[in-house]
Amino acid sequence: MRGFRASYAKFVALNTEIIEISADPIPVQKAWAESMKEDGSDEAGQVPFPIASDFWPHGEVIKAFDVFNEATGKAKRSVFIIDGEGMIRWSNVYTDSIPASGELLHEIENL
Amino acid sequence: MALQPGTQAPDFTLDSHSGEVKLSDLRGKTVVVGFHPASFTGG
Repeated sequence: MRGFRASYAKFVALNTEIIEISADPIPVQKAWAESMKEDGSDEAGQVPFPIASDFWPHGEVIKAFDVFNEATGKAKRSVFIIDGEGMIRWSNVYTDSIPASGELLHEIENL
Repeated sequence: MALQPGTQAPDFTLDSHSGEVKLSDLRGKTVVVGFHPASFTGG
């Protein structure tokens, strides 16, 4: 998440947008975005891509991508790269690591 | 099992911290859709 933001310009340069999703309600997403303003890692101090809420119907989109953890009611940490025609071209579920922007940028360059 | 490459992504519209976002509005661009378990956690 913070890594995505730090590398956001590189994603944009590849005609790529980012959508980050969890099952948290909107007030939590807003508070999280607000909290990240304070570390000053981008010039506007804003998170430049949407942190979306899949709170209700709970986890509907998370379930559609088949990354809903039924035991916790939360999303599995995961990334999907979707091309300009809406086709999933790459996906990964992270069990003991977090997404690395460099890896994703490499995959996007090679689409 | 997570949706696999070669599958059409399900379209969605969600509210976000910065307003509504709709996947199909971004046709023509590559989109990285990231899911995380809980905000205020790593990643």
